[in-house]
Amino acid sequence: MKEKIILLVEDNPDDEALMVRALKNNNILNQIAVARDGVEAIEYLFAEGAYAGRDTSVVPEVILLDLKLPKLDGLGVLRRLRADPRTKLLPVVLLTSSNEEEDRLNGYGLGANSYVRKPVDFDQFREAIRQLSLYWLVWNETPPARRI
Amino acid sequence: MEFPRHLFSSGGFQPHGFCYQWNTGLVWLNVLSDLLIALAYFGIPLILLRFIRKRKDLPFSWIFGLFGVFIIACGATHLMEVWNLWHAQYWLAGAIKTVTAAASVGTAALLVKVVPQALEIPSARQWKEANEALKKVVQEHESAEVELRLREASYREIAELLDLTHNAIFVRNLENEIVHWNEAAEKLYGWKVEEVRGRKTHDVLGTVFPKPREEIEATLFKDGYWEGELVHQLRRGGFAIVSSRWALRTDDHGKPAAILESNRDITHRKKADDELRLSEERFRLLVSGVRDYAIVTLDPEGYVTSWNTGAERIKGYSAEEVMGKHFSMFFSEEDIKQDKAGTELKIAIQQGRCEEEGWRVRKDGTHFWASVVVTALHNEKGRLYGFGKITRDITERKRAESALARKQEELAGSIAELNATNKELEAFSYSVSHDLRAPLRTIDGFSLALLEDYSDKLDAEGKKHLDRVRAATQKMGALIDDLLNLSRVTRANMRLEKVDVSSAAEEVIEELQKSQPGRRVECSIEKGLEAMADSHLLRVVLVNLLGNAWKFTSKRDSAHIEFGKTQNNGSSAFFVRDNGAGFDPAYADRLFGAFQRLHAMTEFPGTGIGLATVQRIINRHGGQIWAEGQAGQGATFYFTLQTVNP
Repeated sequence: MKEKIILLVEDNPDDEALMVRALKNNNILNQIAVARDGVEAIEYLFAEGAYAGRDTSVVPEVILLDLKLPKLDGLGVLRRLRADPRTKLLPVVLLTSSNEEEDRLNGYGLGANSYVRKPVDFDQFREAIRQLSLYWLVWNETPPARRI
Repeated sequence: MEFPRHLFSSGGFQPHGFCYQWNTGLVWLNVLSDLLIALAYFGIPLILLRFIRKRKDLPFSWIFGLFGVFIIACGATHLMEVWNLWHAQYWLAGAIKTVTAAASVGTAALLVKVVPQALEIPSARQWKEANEALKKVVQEHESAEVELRLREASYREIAELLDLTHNAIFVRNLENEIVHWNEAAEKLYGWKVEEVRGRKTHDVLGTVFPKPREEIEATLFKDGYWEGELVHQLRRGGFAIVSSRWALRTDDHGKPAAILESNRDITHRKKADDELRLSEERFRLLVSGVRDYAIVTLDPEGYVTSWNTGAERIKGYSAEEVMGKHFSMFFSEEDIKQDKAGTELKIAIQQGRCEEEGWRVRKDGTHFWASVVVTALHNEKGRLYGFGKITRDITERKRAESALARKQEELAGSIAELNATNKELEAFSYSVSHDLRAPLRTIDGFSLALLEDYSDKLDAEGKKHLDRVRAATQKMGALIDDLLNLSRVTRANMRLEKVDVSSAAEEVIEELQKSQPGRRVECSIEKGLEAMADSHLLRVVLVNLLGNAWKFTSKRDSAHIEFGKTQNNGSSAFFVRDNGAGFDPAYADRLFGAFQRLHAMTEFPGTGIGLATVQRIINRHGGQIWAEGQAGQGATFYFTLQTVNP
């Protein structure tokens, strides 16, 4: 059985650290792949560029995608994923500071599976991450895997 | 008696034949002669009788009867002579002779008496002559009658002819009595000829003369003719103005006999003339009186032919100064060089009119912005006889328009700026919501990490500091969220619909109750209240107002919250009333300002943005919001919304 990995797309190292801490606090020991901008996320998923030669049979269980990203923003990444048959059904959770209606609408419109706003209060943040992980890594059944 | 006894006796006498001695020849001569005489005498009365019968008209016919008796008597004596030749009855003969004598004497006597009368009876020749004369008289009479008939016929013709004309024609005698009156007169005046014949003309028609009647009649009798306008009264009421012609008719001896009068009804023409004159006068007054428009006429070459008050006022020249001058004098020198005046006329001729705006020069040399319409004027035959030119001084309008255009440009600039600002603001809000929150999360997250991971290295004071850091971070997070909400309600698209305000209020109260299940708040919400509003924004209003009421009654033992609708200054307003902390009315105007708080944070938490948000939403709905309250005695917030049209 392959390891269930999580892809975190986050440009802010503080948030990345807090996220890792929150996961660790919740005893989620899965491998966390981190992409620091939209382009890197795409390259990782399609094994291109710096990630050329990556084993594409390793598919993340869930992508935690920030909206505000350098180079290619979160909605751009989502659009690319949904346009490609290989990543069309990949679970994507938009995890962001923004609570703009426009962003929520566009996110769901482009095929996001979930939209979660990062709370300022770390207690709440940690709780959110706990529930998210439990849901996406334990309860949720991913669609049949496709080769990337 | 002896006589009758002897009458038929011979009395002893010898028959008369004895006297002739019975000489046969003598006897028969007497017999035949007497018989013939008697025969003739008896025949004559018969002929006379027949004559009388046939000519019953003859005078003195009885004489013929007498004459007949006399002749028969004579005949009888002659028969008696024959009888006496052989019979001597002389008494009888004597008696017959007596009768005859009586008849003869009577007849003679009567004749004496009758003859003078009979002489007076005209003779046949006389009759004939008389007859001839009579015939002649009759003939003359007949021809006169024919002539009369003919004349009558021609009169009738004339009368018929008169009836055909539209002129009211009548004949009156020298006493002014109407003799004849044609159909047109009947029609015009309303009187039948039978009704007016013999009446005085001027009584019937109540004639109004243009000058004393005596003068008119004097003219008529002098010249035999008069012509003029009269006013006649009509039977149906009203008047007719007629063009009247009078002619004097004379008899064979040249003596005045009658007056012929022919009247043409010119009432309508007269009225039309009057109206035309009036309308022309009005038009002239109108044009000359117009002050705001220069109304000028030009001849076909462009020389001024009329000039109104408006032209005087606008251009500064009096009519005397410009009449007959060329209208190019009102153009600027440059326009004169380019023959702009000539161009205007050309366009007007080609297209019927020429409309333009441009600078013109007044008498004092100042310029004004003119709106000009030049219209080519043609007569009925299509020949150009000049131009009408209307000029308006629209300098003020021009200025206003330029100013308006400038303002519009400025406004367009402002709108562009505003749009840019709005865009910036949106970008700003976006980055606030995203970028300003991220550091807060870091601060809070690592503060907590310190507390959790290094709790053994921190004393109580250090931990307290970190708690304050975390509290401040969370407060700032709340502030940012509220600020974003405020900006969002300003920008959000609004969709007005019928909203059940009561149900929305109930839902909000339910949520508040769920969030603090331990609190006991008595809530009364009026049912069935509706309004036209954006349901999402209205919910934000209710969340804030009811939330405030919930919050500020938290220190009351028996908290009351009331939601309903009330009449206020003639218009209905929704209200949210509580018996909570209330506020000092002195600061009521600060309630709705952003970040304005009337209570200590420690007493009642809050960002001070809620009511600012509510006010913005109500304002965007075109409504009003205000509050009443006293410190410690609760508060009532009123707001108005568009009512639902039935």
